[in-house]
Amino acid sequence: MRESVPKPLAAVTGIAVLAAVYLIFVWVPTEATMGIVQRIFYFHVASAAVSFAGVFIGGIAAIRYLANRRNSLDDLSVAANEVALVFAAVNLITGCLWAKPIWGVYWAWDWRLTSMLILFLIYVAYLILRESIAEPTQRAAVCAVVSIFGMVDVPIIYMANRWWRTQHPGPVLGGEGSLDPRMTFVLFFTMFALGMLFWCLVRARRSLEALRRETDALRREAHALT
Amino acid sequence: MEVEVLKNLKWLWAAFSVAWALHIGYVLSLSSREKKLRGQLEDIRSMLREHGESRERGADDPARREGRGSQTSSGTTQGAR
Repeated sequence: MRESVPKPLAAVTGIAVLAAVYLIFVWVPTEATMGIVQRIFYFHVASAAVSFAGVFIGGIAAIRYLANRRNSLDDLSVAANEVALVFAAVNLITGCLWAKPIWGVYWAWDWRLTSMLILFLIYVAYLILRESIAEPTQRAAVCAVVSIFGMVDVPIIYMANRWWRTQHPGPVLGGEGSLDPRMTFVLFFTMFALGMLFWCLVRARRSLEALRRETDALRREAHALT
Repeated sequence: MEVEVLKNLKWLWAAFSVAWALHIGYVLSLSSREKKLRGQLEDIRSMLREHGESRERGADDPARREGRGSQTSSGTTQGAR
């Protein structure tokens, strides 16, 4: 894993993440209505943005895999999708922990939350499917189709609180809501820091997939000889 | 007011802890999967190496070559019967 993440990238990511933590907990002003719990917003929204980006990277790599059949694209697709799933889980859980003190409940079955949960479940199914198909070419092709299908859910999640009445707060960026410039800066900085973390994890996961491919190929060779 | 802040701090702390626990857990899972795969890769490689060496030994050994030859002739005889 150490070889797949270059030291300068790991160092910049570490510094960016620590700076984001400092900005969230110390630097940014406390929101007037919700108080200190509003600070969850920064890593909740940033995790969602990073998971959406991951799903798109995975989906585009899957489309390119279906066109070119290059194994490196399948490796990138599975790496981006798996890491996106981790960020989606962070988004869902931090959302629940924000909702409890603000709404009084952990969960509401509104369009935004439900569509995000569906995205999470699609990628859980994707990983289960990936483990259950033994033949590598078939596995990559079937998973590429699921990955493209999962990507379609992202615009629905993003537009859910614009298209339908939801309990989820309205859009703060590019919507009716307005955000203090310092809050906007911290939000974008957290997105950058988590984006860097995402890229480190994708690199590590991609090299793991290449290692798995090598192991499978050698195993088949050994099986043919014995 | 202070009680309210402390009460809400619990939720902020929980959210932050869960977020990092998930990331750290994922990194640990990547590391353990890599270790397992490297172990498997090494096992298969050594198995293939041993297999290659035993084949080479078999090709160099005249007694084994003769043995193989007699097996073939008996097989042919059996086939003729």
